[in-house]
Amino acid sequence: MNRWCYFEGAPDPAERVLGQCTGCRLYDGDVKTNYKDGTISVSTHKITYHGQNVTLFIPLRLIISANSVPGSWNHSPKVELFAQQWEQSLKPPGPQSTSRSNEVRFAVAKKRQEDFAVQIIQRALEERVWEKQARQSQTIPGILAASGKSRGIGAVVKSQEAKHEKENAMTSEGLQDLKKLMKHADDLAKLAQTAATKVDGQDEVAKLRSMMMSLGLENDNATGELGLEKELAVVCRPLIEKSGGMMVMEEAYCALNRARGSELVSPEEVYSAAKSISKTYPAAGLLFKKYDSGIAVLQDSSLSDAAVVERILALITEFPEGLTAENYSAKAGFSPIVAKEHLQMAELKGDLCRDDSSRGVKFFPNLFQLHSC
Amino acid sequence: MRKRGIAGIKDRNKIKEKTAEKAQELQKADFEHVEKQFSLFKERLEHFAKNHRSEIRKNPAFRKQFQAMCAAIGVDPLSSSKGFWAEVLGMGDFYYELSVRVVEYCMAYRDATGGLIALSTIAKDLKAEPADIETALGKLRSLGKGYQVIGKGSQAIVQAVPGEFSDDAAKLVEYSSKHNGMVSQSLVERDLGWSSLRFCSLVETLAREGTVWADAPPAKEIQYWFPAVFSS
Repeated sequence: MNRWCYFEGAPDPAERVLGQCTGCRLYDGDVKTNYKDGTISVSTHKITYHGQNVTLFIPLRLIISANSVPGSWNHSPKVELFAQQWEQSLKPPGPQSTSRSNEVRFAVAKKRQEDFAVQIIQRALEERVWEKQARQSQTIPGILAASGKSRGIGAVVKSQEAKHEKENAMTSEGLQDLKKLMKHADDLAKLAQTAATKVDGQDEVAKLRSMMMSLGLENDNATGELGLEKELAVVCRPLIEKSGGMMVMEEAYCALNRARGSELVSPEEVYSAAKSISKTYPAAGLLFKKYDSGIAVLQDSSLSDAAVVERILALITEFPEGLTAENYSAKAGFSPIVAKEHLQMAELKGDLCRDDSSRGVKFFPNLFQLHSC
Repeated sequence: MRKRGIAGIKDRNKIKEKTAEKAQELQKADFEHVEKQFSLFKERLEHFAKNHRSEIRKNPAFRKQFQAMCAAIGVDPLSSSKGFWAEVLGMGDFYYELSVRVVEYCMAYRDATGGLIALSTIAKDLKAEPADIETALGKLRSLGKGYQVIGKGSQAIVQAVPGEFSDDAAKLVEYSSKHNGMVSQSLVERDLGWSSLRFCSLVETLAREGTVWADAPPAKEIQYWFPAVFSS
């Protein structure tokens, strides 16, 4: 609904009206708007809605595809247009700045009018009269230009861009097929959810889970992916050792997929394998940890919080002027993100104190705690 | 007529048994129906893939529409590399690989502009569509904190250092894109209604981390620039 703008100018001299439908109502996504009983008029340059005291329009160059939706007993027939957003700098004022949908929708009054409207619009989109005109205006600036913005080189560039956009936009057939496919997927998802409440027996549960995962419904990937845990261990072990004993999950994900080269795995699958690795594959000696900040790491199981703090306190004696995250990261070999997490964790435990000044954040042993009576 | 005696009891048990059996049969038939529907869908998807697979690969608008529709029905097409979508449509490898490249890019460049990188810069350097980068970033969130995206569309900024940005900081970055990456105390007081204390303490922290650069022109107000925004 945010594609419609108020029409205040005069029609283009080269513009021709190709067809009209009366008794139309504009929709915002699925919701009826108050713009009803208007006339939709399709010209060579734009689609106009003539309401009682308002005229709205959308230029054809923003329309990517049009399709009709036949009516049913309680739904009027409709026309759906898949339209780009206006360029921010070019958009004239309109009734709405947001839209429930990327589709411009309007209902027509009589049966078959929706097909009629779509036919006209599609023909207008094919002929692209507005573009030919923009190109012409480059040679005779100021006379034939439709608006201030379509003079000169700018017009040519814009029309090329519009053409490029159109070529890049989906074919209307593709969009139709996709919609039907998605409707089917939606029905299937609902069916699966109902089945989940009635399912009986381990066998059926496992089968249903696997089907739901294939569809992209379930997130819980606990289906015995031991192969992935082993892979994770093999790939990440050497890297973990090189970076002080722990690595951030993003790095683990990259390492795993880089090692695979093809048939890559999803971030969810890597995360899931890492989370359970200490239980499902203890031989790897790896542990998953998620810090309060949300950062998740894969680490050596010997690296408990206590061990980390001990290390820091030992290290901090080398930095009488305070330990920064950079120093700690460089000395201990952890990545800067991990280093920061450690320092914060130690601070939360009360083993470190921070000094936050314009020179940065420095950490000191918490003398208050060490010397408490 | 109910039978009396032991024979009657046996019969009643038999009825119970038969009912339970029948219920199981129905349940099995129900489940078989579900399985059939899934395999029917898979066939349909394969048919779709035959016709549109190359278009999906070449056309970012198609991918964008596809993602939006999946989200609308509550389906995550990339959650499983062995799922229908990843395998049949071949979208898995495309997005998982892009995610890898995005992580590596962010790790390499995050220090250059104080942990913030313009989405358009990432898209340009990785020669990928901004919409696809956004999808990849969304996927990475399942690994932990991920990379937060501040703002929308062509002006979106990615916070490539996970877990560091406060809401205020994010608001300030978004606001700065209105002035090509610049903010000043008077502008922020006027448009965001922030107190000078709120603004100054935030800007000080950001300056220390290298996320903003301070520019003090003579006899004028100090301007703070977000390099990630103005260089995009």
